Amino acid sequence: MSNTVEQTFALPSGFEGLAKFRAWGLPTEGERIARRLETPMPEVQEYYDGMMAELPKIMAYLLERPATNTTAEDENLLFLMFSLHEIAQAVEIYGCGEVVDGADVRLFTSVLNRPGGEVA
Amino acid sequence: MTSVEERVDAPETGEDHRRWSSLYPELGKGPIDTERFISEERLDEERKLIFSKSWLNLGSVHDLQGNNSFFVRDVALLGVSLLVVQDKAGKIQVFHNVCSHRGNKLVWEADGPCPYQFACRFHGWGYKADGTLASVPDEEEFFFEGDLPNKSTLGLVPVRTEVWNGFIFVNMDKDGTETLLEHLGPLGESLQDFPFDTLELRYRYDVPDDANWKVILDAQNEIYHLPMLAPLHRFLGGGAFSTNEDGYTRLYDFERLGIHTVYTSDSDAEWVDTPLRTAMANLHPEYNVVKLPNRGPFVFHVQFPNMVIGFLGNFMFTYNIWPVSVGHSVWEIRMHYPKAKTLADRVCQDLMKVRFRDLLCEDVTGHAALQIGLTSKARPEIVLGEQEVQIRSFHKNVDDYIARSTNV
Ligand code: FES
Ligand SMILES: [Fe+2]
Repeated sequence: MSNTVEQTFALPSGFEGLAKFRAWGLPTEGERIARRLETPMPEVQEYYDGMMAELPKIMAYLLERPATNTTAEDENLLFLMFSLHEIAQAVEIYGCGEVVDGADVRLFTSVLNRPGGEVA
Repeated sequence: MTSVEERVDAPETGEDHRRWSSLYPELGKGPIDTERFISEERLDEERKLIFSKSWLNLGSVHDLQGNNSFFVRDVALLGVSLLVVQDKAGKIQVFHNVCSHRGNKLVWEADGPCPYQFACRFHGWGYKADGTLASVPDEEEFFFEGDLPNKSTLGLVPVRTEVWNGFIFVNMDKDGTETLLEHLGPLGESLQDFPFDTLELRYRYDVPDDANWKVILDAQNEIYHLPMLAPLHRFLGGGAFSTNEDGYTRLYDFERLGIHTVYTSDSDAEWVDTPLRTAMANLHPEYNVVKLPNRGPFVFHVQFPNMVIGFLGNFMFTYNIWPVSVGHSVWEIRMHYPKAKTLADRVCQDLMKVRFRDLLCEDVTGHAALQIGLTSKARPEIVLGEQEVQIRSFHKNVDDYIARSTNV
């Protein structure tokens, strides 16, 4: 059963190790914000550390990938990066998921629906 | 814009302290009234004498899906719904989004490709992309004869429309004669050759904001608050924007551009970004390569009355701040970037977006708190310092515009 789940979250070859983070592979900004808000900080920190360790390899790979005709595998890797951006705010700036002393960050969910790797 | 050093009217180099108030003595140094942020009468004046007269930006070609597409923009303050259409040849025209039969709001979708005809949901009158009335169900029952209205006079009502560098503007004043270029004046000249067409729109936020539209604009139109307001502001206030030896932000330049303004800020050379962004700068060879011909790392244009065109490195943001009522507005935020060539570029776009979005999320709370304090009428005036010269200038532009419109 877990195999099936992993198959629905395919990653480019060489990045299979990141499949353990598939819960962060969320296609929309709204979902990523929600997960940032609801995940306990130890788990957030674990994701941050895990992704930061892989960052050189991920960026070297993505630099070679054109921005159009994105494969499902590449898209999943992008979504993991986008979630890293979200929670880096929690780790590096706020110490928690919320925008401290700010408004509800869910007010800021892009209304655009664009092709090319990300929907709103 | 020209750099302050190059300008003939520039203050002596080194004369940083209060240079703008000496450069623009007409702006004065005194306080400004708070009534302008909280009174119904004032908003009424602004509706009649500014928003109903001035060119207003509705977005840009990026909001369309290319030739033969449309978007709808409702402007609550003016009580109008507007239909922005780009025809098959690429020409953009804005119409009142109102059916000529019995006044139904014609198009209810937000945007999309143009249908064969825009068909009214009430009784099915159909309009072509050029606004002409093309079909009327059961047409024989209508009195399209003699001097009575007929199909050729019952097309959609056009609104004065002009496009500048891809930005779509309307002017609701049917009798107005000012062209968009005249309105844009020196701001338009300074950005005329800017490579807007190399950018793509990636994100748009329509944020409800519990503040007067000018409170929102003012709070964005300065960097004095950066080192104080909230965590991300404080982090960036530590040197992402230039500071003096005491840690206070300093404008690099400010210029009045007709009824518009621009200010710029540099960043401190020794400023260190977060671990993720520092890593990214090392891993993406173009992370710090500035491709846009900007005057500095941060450039903020206020395009009168309610639009901002700003640049932060390679990133362009625009604001359209729409008053809804005295103490409530919708803050439309759009983020544009040089077109991504690789997925690594897409990563950089998103990284920039998340930071900027959270920064503005902090601001929203500040806007509401300002509005609460102003509405309390505890004081009849607010005071502005030298580092808030942009705000002083904006309010003078607003006041002058209202005075001119009143006299016309
Ligand atoms: S109101 Fe539009 S067809 Fe009747
Ligand atoms: Fe701010």
